[in-house]
Amino acid sequence: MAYLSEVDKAEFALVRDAVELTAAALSKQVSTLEEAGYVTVEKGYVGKRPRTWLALAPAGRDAMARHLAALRAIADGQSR
Amino acid sequence: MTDDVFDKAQARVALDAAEQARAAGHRAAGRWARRYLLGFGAVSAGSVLAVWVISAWVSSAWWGAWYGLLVALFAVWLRRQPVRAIPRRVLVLTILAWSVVFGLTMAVGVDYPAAYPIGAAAGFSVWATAAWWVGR
Repeated sequence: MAYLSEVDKAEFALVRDAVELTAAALSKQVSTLEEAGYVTVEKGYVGKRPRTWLALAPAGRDAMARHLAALRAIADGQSR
Repeated sequence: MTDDVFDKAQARVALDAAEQARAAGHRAAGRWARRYLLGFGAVSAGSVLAVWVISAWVSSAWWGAWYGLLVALFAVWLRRQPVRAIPRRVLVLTILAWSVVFGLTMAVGVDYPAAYPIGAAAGFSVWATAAWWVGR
């Protein structure tokens, strides 16, 4: 999600390589995030090759911001 | 929920991992956007120089079709990018500015062929400016 926060959309294979996960592991993560409404998945073709595009949904952007804020609070030793 | 799961050290590790992933996304976005914008700038400048070479033999009535072909190439190339991160406003403004430069170059170049290399350089600089803006 942090990777996707910097782009409009990115190809599945590129995200897989960037986060160093197997395709199966990333696919499982993406399915969970898609069900939660955090990530959108778009399938299409470039020429004859199938492509899967991933994008961070607005709800995912909000959830990530909240999660990072909470992590920062813990790391800084603040109680919320 | 987060503070039920993470202690201080784990929170720092998670923050570092998120920052690394964010930075990787930022680098990929900048790299692909620059590659696309500069690549297309080079193609459009090359096409104007090609027009300069063939303008003595080809009717200027074809330059509209030439423009259409470049825009189609631009759209197809954009669709093939593995990362899309060029802000829509930057893209629209770049296409508009380049279209004006392209149109002026073709209009003036009919009578003053020196306009072609100048237009090619000006067109490329439009794309290069967009690449700089996106990658800054």
